[in-house]
Amino acid sequence: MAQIPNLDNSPINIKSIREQSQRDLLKILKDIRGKKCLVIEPKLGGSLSLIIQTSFLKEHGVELRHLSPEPVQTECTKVVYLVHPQRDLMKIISSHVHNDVSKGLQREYYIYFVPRRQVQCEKILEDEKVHNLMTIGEYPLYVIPFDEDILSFELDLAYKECQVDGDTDSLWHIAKAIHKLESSFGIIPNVRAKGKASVLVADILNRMQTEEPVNSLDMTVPEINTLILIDREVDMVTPMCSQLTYEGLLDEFLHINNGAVELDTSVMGVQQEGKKTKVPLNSSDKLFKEIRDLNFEVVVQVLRQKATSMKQDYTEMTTTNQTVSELKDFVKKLNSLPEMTRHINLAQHLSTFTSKPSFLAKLDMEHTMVEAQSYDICFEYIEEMIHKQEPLVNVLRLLILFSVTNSGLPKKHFDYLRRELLHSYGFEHMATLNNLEKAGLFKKQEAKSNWQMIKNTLQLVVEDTNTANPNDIAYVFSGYAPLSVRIIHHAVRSGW
Amino acid sequence: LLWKESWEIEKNPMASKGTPLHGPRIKLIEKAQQLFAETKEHTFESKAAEEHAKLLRIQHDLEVSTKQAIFVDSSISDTIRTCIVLGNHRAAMKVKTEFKVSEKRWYWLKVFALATIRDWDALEKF
Repeated sequence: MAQIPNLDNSPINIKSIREQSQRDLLKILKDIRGKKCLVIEPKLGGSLSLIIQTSFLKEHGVELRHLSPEPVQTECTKVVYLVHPQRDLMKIISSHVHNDVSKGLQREYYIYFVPRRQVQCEKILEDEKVHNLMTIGEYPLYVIPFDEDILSFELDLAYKECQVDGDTDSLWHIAKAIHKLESSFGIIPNVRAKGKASVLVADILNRMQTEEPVNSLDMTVPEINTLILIDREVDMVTPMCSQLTYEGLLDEFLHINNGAVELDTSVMGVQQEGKKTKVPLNSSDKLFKEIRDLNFEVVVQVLRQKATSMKQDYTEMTTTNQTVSELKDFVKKLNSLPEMTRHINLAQHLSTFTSKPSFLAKLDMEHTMVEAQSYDICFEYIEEMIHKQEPLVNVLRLLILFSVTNSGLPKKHFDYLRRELLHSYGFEHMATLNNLEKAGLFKKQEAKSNWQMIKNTLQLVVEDTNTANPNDIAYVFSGYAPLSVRIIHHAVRSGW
Repeated sequence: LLWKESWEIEKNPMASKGTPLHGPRIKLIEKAQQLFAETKEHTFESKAAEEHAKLLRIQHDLEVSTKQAIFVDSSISDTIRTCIVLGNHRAAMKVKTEFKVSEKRWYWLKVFALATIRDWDALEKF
């Protein structure tokens, strides 16, 4: 697994965070003597691959398994589960234990909850009568360094939990994570929060600071100056638009997971039937660092330029006599060749998606919606999508964009579209629609939309963006500046 | 508040698809419909539940008459498409009128369905 990102160039010492997590995990494993089988929940396994190398774990006498409903096959007598505190996982673990007991296998069980234990999970273990067989602990993994400038909480369901289920546990998680950051980098003097949930996080953080003050004596100057918390609720428009940067498109079509995309080997120019390969994407790859945030149109140009300049160098090489230092330069350039091939392959693969007329039509429609001028055209477009039974996710994404920019739809249209959706995709989606309504993503219009005002004051729609030499963030969506980014601009410049 | 709770409870069996036994399932959906109907805000949900029950009945009849277990749990649009693909235009027409399917949607469905079975003649005529 060569995808552990190189963090040497990070602005603050992110590496220390990763090392701390590595130490914590090793301590857990060392405390359990002898050979052991580590059973990891698949999702967590992906995150852990960004922190520690599997070979490293093997050196410490660990056999690695992914958690699944099937019983664990291992010779080891010690089984260590590393899981998020989720109820269904507890059931699986219990069934494993029951299975072992019925076969007369004697094993020692350990459960480490990430990032902390929860009463309800332990209650399930008690109900299943396996609690007394377990040793229970915690593995406090709150943030995962993805790149030299990105830390992630890996809470992908947090929005749904807060908005639909009313479960605010994730907010505590975030506050705790920030609190932990503060204990290594000093208290952050400026905290700004936008949105309901963000204010809550700031409150919890404050409380933690009084309950458990960060030792600030040995820290002279805090390394982080400002913390900006933004609730996703504030900006639901941006995630509904199609991403247009190189990295964004890779994610749209191929899905970036744990800092890597998985695709058929044939895309990368190797002919091997049905095999998948993982391509890591982070700033350790210098070329990727250069082009990841460029608009895709430009990426193709940059790649072409690089390729031609290399070809030129090559012909010069074969025709004229070179000094040793020139040779050295040339070889240096050759070293970047694998990166070049990789990204040319990827870009080529992407352009098969982006050149489709349906993709261009979709982009066009997103723009029309963000500009919020022609309601009827948008409405009819969505209606047609439903009638053609296009993939539900695509339909809903546009529909949400439509609903959010209009602060909901008039009751007549709302009911009509809901009915058409149920007819086309089945009545089981009643619950889907209900959840969307609860989260305020697709709803009845109650007040007049304030999107026009927001759009104008924050200059969200910028015409004449220069995609090659961007001077405004609007280039990333070819003309729409993400609302959340504008908010950060304002927060940094003037405070709100 | 009681209403709220009761319809939340009723919603769940609907979402989790219920049992393969259709009789009790349709009853449950009809009960949900009544509960929805008792409040004013949920007329939409009530109507949807009513249609859902009706659809399941029709699909059941279709499965009996065609002897193929492919209808239950597909959507209205899918049902219409399946009917056309099987060449059963009368049944398709019946589902269309039963659920007041708009002409626009009807045309899309028919075109797609005819294209699937490569019935170019029918497509030409239509």
